[in-house]
Amino acid sequence: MKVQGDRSFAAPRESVWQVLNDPAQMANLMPGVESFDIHDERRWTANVKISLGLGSLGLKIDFEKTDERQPEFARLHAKGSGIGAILNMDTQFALAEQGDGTTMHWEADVHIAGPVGSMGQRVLQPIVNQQVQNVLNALDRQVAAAQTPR
Amino acid sequence: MSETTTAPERPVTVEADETKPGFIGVSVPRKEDKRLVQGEGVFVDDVKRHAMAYVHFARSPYAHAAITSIDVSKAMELEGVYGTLIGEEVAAQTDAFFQIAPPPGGHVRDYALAVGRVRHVGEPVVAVAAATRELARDAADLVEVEYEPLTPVVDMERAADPGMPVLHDEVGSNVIWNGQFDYGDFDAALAEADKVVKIDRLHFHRFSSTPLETSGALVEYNRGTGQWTIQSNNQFPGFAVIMMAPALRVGIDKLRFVSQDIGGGFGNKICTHVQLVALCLLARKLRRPVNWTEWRTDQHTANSHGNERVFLDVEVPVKADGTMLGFRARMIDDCGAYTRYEPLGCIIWAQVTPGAYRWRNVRVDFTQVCTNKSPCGPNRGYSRMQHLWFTERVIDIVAHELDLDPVEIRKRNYIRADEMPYETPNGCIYDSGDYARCLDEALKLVDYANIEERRRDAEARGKLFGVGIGSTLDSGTNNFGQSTLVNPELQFSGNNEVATVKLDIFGEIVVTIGTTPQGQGHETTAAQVVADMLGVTPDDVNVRAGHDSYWNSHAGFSGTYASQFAVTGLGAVKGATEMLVDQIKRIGAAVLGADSTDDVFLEGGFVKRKDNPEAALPFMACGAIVNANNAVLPMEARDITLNCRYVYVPPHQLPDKERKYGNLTLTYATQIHACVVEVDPETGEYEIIDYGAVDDCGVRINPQIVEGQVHGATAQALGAATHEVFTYDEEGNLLTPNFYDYHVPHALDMPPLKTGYIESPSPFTPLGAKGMGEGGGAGLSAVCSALQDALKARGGAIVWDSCNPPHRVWEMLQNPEQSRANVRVENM
Amino acid sequence: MAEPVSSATIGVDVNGDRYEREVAARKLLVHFLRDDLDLTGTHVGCDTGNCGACTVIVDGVAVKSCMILAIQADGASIETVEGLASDGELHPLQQAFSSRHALQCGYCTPGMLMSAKNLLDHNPEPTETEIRRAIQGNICRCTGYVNIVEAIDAAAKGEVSG
Repeated sequence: MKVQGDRSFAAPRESVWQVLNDPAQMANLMPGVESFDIHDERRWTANVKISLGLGSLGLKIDFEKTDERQPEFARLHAKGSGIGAILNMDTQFALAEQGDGTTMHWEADVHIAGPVGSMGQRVLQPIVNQQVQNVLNALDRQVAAAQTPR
Repeated sequence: MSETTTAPERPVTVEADETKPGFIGVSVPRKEDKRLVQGEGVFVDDVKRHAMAYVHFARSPYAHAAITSIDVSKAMELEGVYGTLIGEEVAAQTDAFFQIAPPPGGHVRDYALAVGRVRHVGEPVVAVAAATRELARDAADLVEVEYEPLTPVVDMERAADPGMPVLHDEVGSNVIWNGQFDYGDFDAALAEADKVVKIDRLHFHRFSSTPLETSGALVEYNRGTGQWTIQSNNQFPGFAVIMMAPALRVGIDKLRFVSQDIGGGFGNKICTHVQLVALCLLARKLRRPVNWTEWRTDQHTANSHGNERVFLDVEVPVKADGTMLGFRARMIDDCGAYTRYEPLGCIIWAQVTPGAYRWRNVRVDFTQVCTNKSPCGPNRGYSRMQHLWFTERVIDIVAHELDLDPVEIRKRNYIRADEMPYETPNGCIYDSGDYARCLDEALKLVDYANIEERRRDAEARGKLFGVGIGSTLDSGTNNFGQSTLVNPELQFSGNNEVATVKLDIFGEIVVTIGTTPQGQGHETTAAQVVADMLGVTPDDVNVRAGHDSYWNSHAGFSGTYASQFAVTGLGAVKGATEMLVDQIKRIGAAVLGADSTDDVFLEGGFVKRKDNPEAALPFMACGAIVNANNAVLPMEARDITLNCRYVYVPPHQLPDKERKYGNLTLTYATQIHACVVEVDPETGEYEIIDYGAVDDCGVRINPQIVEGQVHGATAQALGAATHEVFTYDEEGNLLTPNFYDYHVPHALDMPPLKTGYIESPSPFTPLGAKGMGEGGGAGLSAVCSALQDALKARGGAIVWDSCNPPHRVWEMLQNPEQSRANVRVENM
Repeated sequence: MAEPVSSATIGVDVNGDRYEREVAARKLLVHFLRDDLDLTGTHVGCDTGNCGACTVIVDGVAVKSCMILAIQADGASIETVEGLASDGELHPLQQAFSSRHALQCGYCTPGMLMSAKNLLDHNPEPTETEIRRAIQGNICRCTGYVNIVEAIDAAAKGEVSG
């Protein structure tokens, strides 16, 4: 399933880019992250627990940054697996300056295979949407925290 | 709850036969019941062997993917795990399964486990064997398989388009088979027509009968003899061994099939030979018996769906009075990821090319494609159900568009009783039947005479009201020669079934048959036939339960499938009993001093002299003499064994491969259904408020059993008509993979169901009986027809799909023009 | 927090016979009955608790034994199909099922009988709708339920022979 959206930040583009491209901060953005390992600048792995309403789904997800045009565009590929579910996701985001702030346009193409996948889009779409909301809210907080003078 | 049955008129002609009208036609209580109601049946999962391993399959989560690596090490580390089997081993130790299709479709390579690639969600990739069911499941979860996903093909109408991913590289495209069928003169029909009704698209959906017992087996390997004993619920062992023996590179006698009770089959337990090969390899590898019980989700996802089929560019030349002259159509059939019984479906529909109708001019372009969905199997009604639904939609739509009475148009077009036996345009012979009379009976069951009163009442309550008719034929006793019309190189034809009837040393009558019953009451009906011929009661006849290859009472086509037991199974029983009767009479004559067998008769378990019935020899004495005291017999009587094996072979001929012409099946039972619905125009919800099903299967050996089959087949058809469907998403995930989402009829879902019958005996069969059991497909047509009638008042939508859940009805109510755009009537 | 239990010894009464066995904590009651006690009359037909083939009566309540762990049945009194007949005499429901041809393959039958028995234990004169509701959780693919409903009605009325 495909999801996409736009978001505005009251912060300069470099700040937003910085947050998005720091693996440690990226890992912090992910809801339900229980632990993560950073392999190098482009690759990291996260152990994640996603709430499914009825129980939760544990996934080990490998991320790889496949494309980058600093500070305006990045594309990531994620491949995850857990019991009953295999996740394949391509996501990209584009940052544009807007006055003092930044607008971000993002897209994600999410594929879920396995018994969880057979629950179908009508059940999974709301879950995906909720995860996306969590990421964006956390991104807000991280960007705001990065703005705060230390 | 009330039901009415119609008394038959005396049949026109009954061939003089030896069976006295004793137990034939009587609803004798079933022998099977005593053990089944006490839970003492023996189903495959009930059987245990010491030290047996439980098997669970690790299955593909992808509809289409390359397998890049398999790692079973973590699974093997678990204590209690005995071993695994992967595709590489299968490819090394077995040959790919024999393919029915000619090249290039026949180049599909199908193995017991996925080799290098997976082609449907749920395809078995690794077999894991462990000490307990739970451990096997745990271990299967620890198997690590790396996949590289490939784009799946899930739209059967696009599967053959250029540029689509190809499932089987060796085939080169997703087209498994294509053929042209041309009978009569369709162009002349067009010229003669007053109008042509054109229908762009009709769709028959994917569903299956989902028997309550899933597939399973307990397989043991005898290392000393190389013999496998396969205790399983496979319902067509004849087919299974033909497939398995070459794959395993062994002789057919190395595969012993054993079963006792089977919890429903409906054609869904025909293609389990694939999993059985994996179990055979595991049993040999692990040196212990292996037990596999399929999970419900695995049955729905990966084992045997009914075929989905579309009918495109349909053209029907008709006269103004509704006489249908013929049809032309392009048909596409989806067989799923692998061809296991397919592409036989590409010809089997031709057993009923004209359906119940007299049109003579038919032109069909038939294509079968593969898709990344569950492989199809011969689900109840196999391939005929799809085609008969098509012919019923056609006549229903023609009546609708020409504003003709649906009953009159059917009677105008039905093949008539006085035309029987009737040769269809492609050479099939409909043996007997009276469709118009069955229709009248069905209409009586729903009180059709007073239907307008009920319509007014429903409309007063704000409901839309509809009456529909569904006609179907249940063709039975296949001529396997039809396979040569799909692949001229094949060497299959005819059919057979075997029975052995013996009189034992203590006078016990014992019958063994080569069939694998799943609830059809074979033990009982066989006993009825034998009892009548021997002059005893069914209680005196012991029919061994189930199937066992060691009985040597089976032949190449043995099994229980395709509506044929009443002909082939009982034909074999009759033949064997005739032999036994003759032998008993010969002993009786010899011992009682009569001149010939004409001077003695059988009664009450004795053989008696006609001129002096006091001179009587009990069966027990006959058995004792032959088995333990045969020196008392004169030399010329010593060939008597009282152990008679008979192979029933139907009078089939080789079909004409050039013209695709010939008699493809021996008998045709009829079922005609009438359905009354009330539809809520706000929501599309509808209720079947009345339903009648009339059956004609010739002589009914056990009426209660026949009626039970009608009930069950109708319930399955109504489930499929209203909400049973195997739906896939665009990734090839099955969204209705178990009973949680795939809703079958429960007790509260059933409408008031009334049944009736007539008996048109078959002139071609040993008992005048016909196979039956697959005729319930009429329900699919009856519901479509009733809904279309109900929607007439609100825009006249055309029902084009075989499955009509409330949301589809609602769509047709909201937007009737969309379905109407599918249909045009052109004046000639 | 206490250690999770991985196995336990349970005592159950099944059809009047007392059994004491050690079972894995995760073992389903239906597998305990079929595999450990060799009472194979109760069947498994699905994996989501929808089909009712596994229906038994536990302490007077009809339950799906695939939805209960064996350890949850510790101390319970369980009735299965094997306990319906007594002294070689079939239970009226069993007789009615046979005479009315309410079974074909027989796979749903044990569960169906136990649901029916539970109904009649609590409601000796059910209406047709009450009968259908009582077996609403039992799937049958062979009979269309027509004869099953008739058989239960007949048994309730004491009209068990054909």
